[in-house]
This record gives sequence, C-alpha cells and structure tokens, in this order.
Amino acid sequence: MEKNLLFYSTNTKIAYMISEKFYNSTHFVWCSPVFNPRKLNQYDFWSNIPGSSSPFKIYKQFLEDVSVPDVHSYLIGNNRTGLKTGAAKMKEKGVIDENDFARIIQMIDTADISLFRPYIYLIPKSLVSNKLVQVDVDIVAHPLSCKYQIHSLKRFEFEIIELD
Amino acid sequence: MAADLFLPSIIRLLDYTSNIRFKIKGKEINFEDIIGEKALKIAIDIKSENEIDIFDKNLSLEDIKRFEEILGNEISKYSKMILGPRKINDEVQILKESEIIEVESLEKFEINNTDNIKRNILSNVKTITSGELIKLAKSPLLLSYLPGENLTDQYFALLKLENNESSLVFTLSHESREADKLYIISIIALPSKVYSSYLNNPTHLFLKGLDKYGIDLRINNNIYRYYREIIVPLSPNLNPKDFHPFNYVEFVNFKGEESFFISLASTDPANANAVKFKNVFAIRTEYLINQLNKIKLTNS
Repeated sequence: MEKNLLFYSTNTKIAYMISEKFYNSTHFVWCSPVFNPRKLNQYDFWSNIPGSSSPFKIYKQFLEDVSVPDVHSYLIGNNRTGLKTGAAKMKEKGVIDENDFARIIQMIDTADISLFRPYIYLIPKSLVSNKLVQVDVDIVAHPLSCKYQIHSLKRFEFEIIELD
Repeated sequence: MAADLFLPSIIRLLDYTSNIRFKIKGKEINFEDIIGEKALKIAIDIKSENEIDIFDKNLSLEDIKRFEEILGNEISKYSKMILGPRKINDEVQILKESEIIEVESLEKFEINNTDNIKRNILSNVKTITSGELIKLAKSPLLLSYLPGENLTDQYFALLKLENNESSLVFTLSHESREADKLYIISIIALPSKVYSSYLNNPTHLFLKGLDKYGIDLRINNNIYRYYREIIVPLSPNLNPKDFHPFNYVEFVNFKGEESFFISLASTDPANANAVKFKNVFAIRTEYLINQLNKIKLTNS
C-alpha cells in the first residue's frame, strides 16, 4: 500500500490548455507518488525510482529548455508528439470534431517554446485512487513517465504549482 | 510515404510503440492484436523511407522515439488535409490567448447598465448585479478572459436563464485596466442543450457556433451568410465589391430550432455602437437591447 498522500505530475502549459479548452477539463497524466526520489532516504524503496520518472527532474529539465530556449529540446519535441497523439485519440473517440482536431494540431505545431513551461500537478490520492493505472517501472523509458497513469483526471482533482 | 494514411492506423502504431516502451500491469498487448493491415503498411513505408523497422526486437529507444516523431508529423499532415485551403490562424490565436478565470474574481466588480437590461432583456432573471448573477445561475458563472487592444481587457461571462433552456454569454470590459467597474458590451444568446459542453469556454463556443451554423448577416439591407472566412451573398445581384467580412451589422437572424444568435459589430469607425476586439466584434449593449427585445429568448 502506498504511503503517500499526494501524487505528483509534471505537465506543460500547453497540455493543460488543450485539456481545459477542448477535452472538457479532463486531463491525461503520468504521475508519481514521490516528487523527488533523490531526496529520500537511501533505504527508502522509492528512492530507487529512476530520474526519468522523477516529476522534479522532469520539471527542471523543461524549465531549463524553456528558459534557454532550446528549440531542439528532446522533451519538448516528445511532448508535441504526445499531445498530437492525444488529439488523434480524442478525435477517434468523438470527444472533438475534425475542426477542433485541426485547431489543436495547429496550436501544437505553432506553439512557442514558452507554452511548454512546466506545471506541477498536486493530486490527492484520496480523490483518484480508483483512477490510477500502474505502469511497470522496470521498462520505463518515456521521458515523462512516472509510476502511474490517470486517464481522466478532472480539474477539481488537482492543484497546480510552479517552482521559481 | 503512402498516400492512404488513416488516423486510426497511426493511433494503433503509437499504441504499439507505447507498449514497447512501457507495459501496463495486467494489460499486456500482443502485436497481432494492435496492428491492422493499414497500420502495417504505414510501418513498412516508414521502414523503407527512414530505415526504422518497428518490428525489430532489438530496436533502440532512439529509433522508437524517431518513429513516433514521424507518426506525429503524419498527424500534422492529416490535419492539414482536413483543413484544405481554409486558414485558421486567427481562431488558433484566440484560443491560445484566452484564459479561464475563476468566477470569484468577478464579485469585486460592479456591472453597469443594469437598469436597461433588467427591464428589457432579462425578464427571466431578477437582477444582474455580479453577486446575483452568480447566485441565480444554475451552474457557476464561468468566465473566459482575452486580453484586448489598447489595454481594455474583455471578459466573457455566462448566465444560464432560469428556465435552463438558453444561456446568455456576456462580454464585459473595463474602460481601462485601472478601472474597477466592468461594462456589459455585448450579449450572445445560445441554447444550452446544444452548447452545454462548451459553456466553460465561451471563446471556443463562439467558434463552434461558426463551425456548425454560420451566421446570417444583414449588411446595408443585403443578407449574407457568413461561414468561417467565406462570405456568400444570398442576393444574386450583389456586386462582389460589397463583400466585407464583419462589416456593419444591423441584425442577426435566429436560424431554425437550434437557434443561434450572435452579435457582431462594425468596422466602421463612425458607428458609435461598434467595439473592435481582435477577431470577435461586440455591439454596445444599448443597441443590442433593442434588437433582442424583438426576439423571444426562451423556447416557449
């Protein structure tokens, strides 16, 4: 049984905007029960969570890439692809029509780097325990991956913070 | 790249690469279950053009990511096919810039021009002071905010009428950013049942209305049907030089059962009723009140 009270998820501003504006404020997120595994006691099981699954590390990398700005950022490129995949799936599900699909794709393709500014979602476990989908951390290679997915996170189920 | 790309096939391939990279416990997926004939053809085309064989068991993570990037580019091409020659830059810009703000932020403002509106328009609503708007709405009053020109910001506010059949979308503005008071500058009436999924984003709602219904405009005694960027004259004798997007509007029709009504204003600077606001124009409330008085707002 996880002992955390919160799950943490790093997402980009454009991902937030698209979900809010087009997907009825329903968000797909990767999340982790630990914000920064490196700060945990070395004997803590969760200290073994790889950096690629650390919301803190992902946040820092996005922030750096946006601040520079790094137009060839792998994270940002991967985020664009992921958002386009999400839009394609939403169109196939009928959540959006082809007009909104085209608008979303254009938003993604023309998005300035500043729109990939990262946000941290704080997600109370008590609100989402029945929505969590566990991912096998051993095979994780996705740069935004954490330990769990939530496919239908509602806006009232999380708070957003940013770190300066 | 094969010309017959289909979106579901691309999605299947992306699900496949996602499954290669991470496994969801209890949901192992076999290749044969996820890939169809069309998707297989796309993968073969990518292999021949980019030398990435997604079915190679020793494929590197970098190649997988590159493969996904190629599929992302195909999604972009597909969306451009959907659009054809249509330009959507302005629409996308509006959607990028608009922000959702919390209803509580409206409470500190006053709304002027309340007397006229109370008497002439909102017969179903007792008052329209800001606090009572929130109180009377069937759902929370939701706002969208777009930064305007000349430091005058525009707010959209939504009110569901008590009969729950129609919604009114108000646009409000400060005289200046330093002013505390908001003025209602236009009202858009929409049937709630049609637009309920967009009520948290009036900007998006406006664009959906244009997508689905277009607008009939009477411009200088001629009627035009406006659909996105195309002005189609309904009168065959009109001279092409009379076509003007968002020209002076006197009246907008209701159209059929799923009535759609929108206020638009003039690009004519001499028109005292007009307020220019980027791609969306608004008419001063006093003018609109007279027009709305002629039209029933409820489905009775």
